[in-house]
Amino acid sequence: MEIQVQAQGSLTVVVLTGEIDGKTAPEVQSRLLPLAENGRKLVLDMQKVTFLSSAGLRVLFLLNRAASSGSGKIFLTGLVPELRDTMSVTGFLKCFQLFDSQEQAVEALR
Amino acid sequence: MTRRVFAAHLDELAGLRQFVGEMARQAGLSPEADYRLRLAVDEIATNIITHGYEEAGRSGDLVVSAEVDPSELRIVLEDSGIPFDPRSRAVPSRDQLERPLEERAIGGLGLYMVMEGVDRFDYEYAGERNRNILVMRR
Repeated sequence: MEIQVQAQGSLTVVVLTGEIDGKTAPEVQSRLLPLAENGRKLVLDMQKVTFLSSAGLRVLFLLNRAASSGSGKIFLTGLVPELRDTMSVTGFLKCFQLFDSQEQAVEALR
Repeated sequence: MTRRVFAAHLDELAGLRQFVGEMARQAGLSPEADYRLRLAVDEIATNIITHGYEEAGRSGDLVVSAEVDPSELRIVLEDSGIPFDPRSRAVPSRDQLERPLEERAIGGLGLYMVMEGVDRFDYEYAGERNRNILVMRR
């Protein structure tokens, strides 16, 4: 699992690469939760995430809770169809603002 | 039948998914069915490793076999962790899944995706071993 964090103006952009499962989710959670808690807009570029289990949904759940308890917000970009399907059947998809690409998100939010 | 033994450790999940993916491709499953099966096997295996073995202070392995016949692919996961029938666990209702995340609890999503994702799910406990059986139509 690779996690790249970049500050872009008022945004924090995180590029995730790999598979988010029961093994890797704790690492994603510990890196991203502090970013969601600091009240900035957090853009998660998911284009290179090829697998997301319920352990990954749990991380998104916790990030969303952390962001909404402050003034932060989470945006997801580049979801592959498999992840989109998982998030759709579990009712997660409609709870996040989505963009097709990181570039579109940065353009719209900055 | 193809059989593979994995240590009951979360490090093994990626290899387990890869094995199931190979079996799914050999059986000619669509990419969507292949993904749903890998996700379902991952969820069941994660439960076995964390609840069946680690939290119970047990160690052991996870024996995975794949059986193909003209109509279906069956993936069987066998373990000697504490007995657990995934069908006994309540999964979220559709009504609960419609609610905003702020009003929801997080539990049960893994097994919900298992039951939604496979064409048939069976469970047996015999000879002090759990057998989780996940079936996809070809």
